[in-house]
Amino acid sequence: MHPTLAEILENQKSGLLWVSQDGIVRYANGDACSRTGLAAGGKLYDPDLARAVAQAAISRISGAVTAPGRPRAPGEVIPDLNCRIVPGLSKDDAFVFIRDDNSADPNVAFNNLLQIIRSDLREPVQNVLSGLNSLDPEIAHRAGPLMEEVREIGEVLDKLVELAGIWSSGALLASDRIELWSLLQQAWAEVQPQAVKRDIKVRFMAHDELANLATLYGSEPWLRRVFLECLESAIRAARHGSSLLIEHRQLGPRALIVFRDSGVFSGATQGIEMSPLKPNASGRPDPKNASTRLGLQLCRHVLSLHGGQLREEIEEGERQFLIDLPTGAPHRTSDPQIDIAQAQRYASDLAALMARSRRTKA
Amino acid sequence: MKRVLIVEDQADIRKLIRMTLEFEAYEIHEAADGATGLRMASAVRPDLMLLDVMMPGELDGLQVCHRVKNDPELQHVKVVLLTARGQVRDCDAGSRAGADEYLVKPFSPLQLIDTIERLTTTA
Repeated sequence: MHPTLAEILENQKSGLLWVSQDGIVRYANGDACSRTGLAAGGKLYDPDLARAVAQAAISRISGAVTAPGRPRAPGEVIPDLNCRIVPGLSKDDAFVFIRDDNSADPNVAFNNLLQIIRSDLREPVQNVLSGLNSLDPEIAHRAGPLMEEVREIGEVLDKLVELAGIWSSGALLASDRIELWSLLQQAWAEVQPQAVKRDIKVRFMAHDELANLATLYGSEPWLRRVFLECLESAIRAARHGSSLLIEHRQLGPRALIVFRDSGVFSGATQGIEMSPLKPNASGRPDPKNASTRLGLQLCRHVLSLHGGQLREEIEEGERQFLIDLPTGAPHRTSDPQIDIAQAQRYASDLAALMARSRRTKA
Repeated sequence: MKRVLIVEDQADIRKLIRMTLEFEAYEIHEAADGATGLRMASAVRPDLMLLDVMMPGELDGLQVCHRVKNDPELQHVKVVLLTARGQVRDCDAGSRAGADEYLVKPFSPLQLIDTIERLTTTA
């Protein structure tokens, strides 16, 4: 076997078996060995898989079966393995790509909790709010502080649901091509009315030609949400009639959005560490503080899934709040499936490529 | 011998491409990110660049392509963008950047060789 091909097969993130038509394993990468217990020279033990391999080898047609794997530890449940079988390099072999059966949702308890928050907490709060909105104006006036408190609790619940919704979802694994400056301007357009209302002036500055600013790949809606949270927080913290300066800096392969001397998340951070939930005058936790903390958590999580972070720096006595993001390809903790697909495509076309090369050289 | 510069951050994909091109007679050069790829393009003066679109760092494939096609010294270089993004707007972005061809992953090595041959023959 070509050593490069061996290296590629071994580094597949899924299990890979190279099997001859009679079910004898010619090659098994480390992952396939641990999932199936099979090694080179061994024979497929599952009849369905063996049949699918024979069919792929003879009729050159891909297939898929679910086969039993090897338990991770003695006494554990035998896992189901999703096996995709593709014709091999010659007429008497096939490749088997193996993955765990992921149909079982490990987050059942988490999803149940989320459902309770949605249906048993958020919906009743929304109902109370709409009921309060239809009150007689005089009563509504007297109920003003109560309405405000309920509205703030509703905001906290909304953010909690939002945060929980993205925590384990694939929504952040998008690969939108994002121009940060343009995205920042979009977010600003949404927030600008709040700034106008408080007579706050915001100036944006890019430290390079806009065409030279690096792009990044990720979830555009969620990064816009981060900008919205930070801009809203900055406007809330700014004094009436004051000015804010927001800069876009490019530092090699990192993009920085810097809120200069602003109070972004100042109620929720202490050197970006979470501060304890402060009680209000009534001795209860302040929902405003909770909402800010959740906003901060949301931003931190979205950024960390993009390989970025929130940072605070003190420059010449000024508190700088920074959104720090790596530019370029999407940040991933695991290799993209496209590598596997590309290797599969290569394997299926290798024989044709070799034949073509022979013809060309002849 | 025609020169091909592969600019791709995934080492495995670079190897696959190199293996494919080794079936034919090409002088092969490699870079793992856009900025290095652009520097190597100036130094090597390839006949063709295979450019991954999504790469880490300061320049993605579209930006490198745009700069190559706007550089009088390099604008003759044929550029093939390699990408997992095959939507119409992605292909349009490639065209706007000046790419000569756009291959969507997983691409066939045969398709790759054919594309390179066609573009370097007409160069």
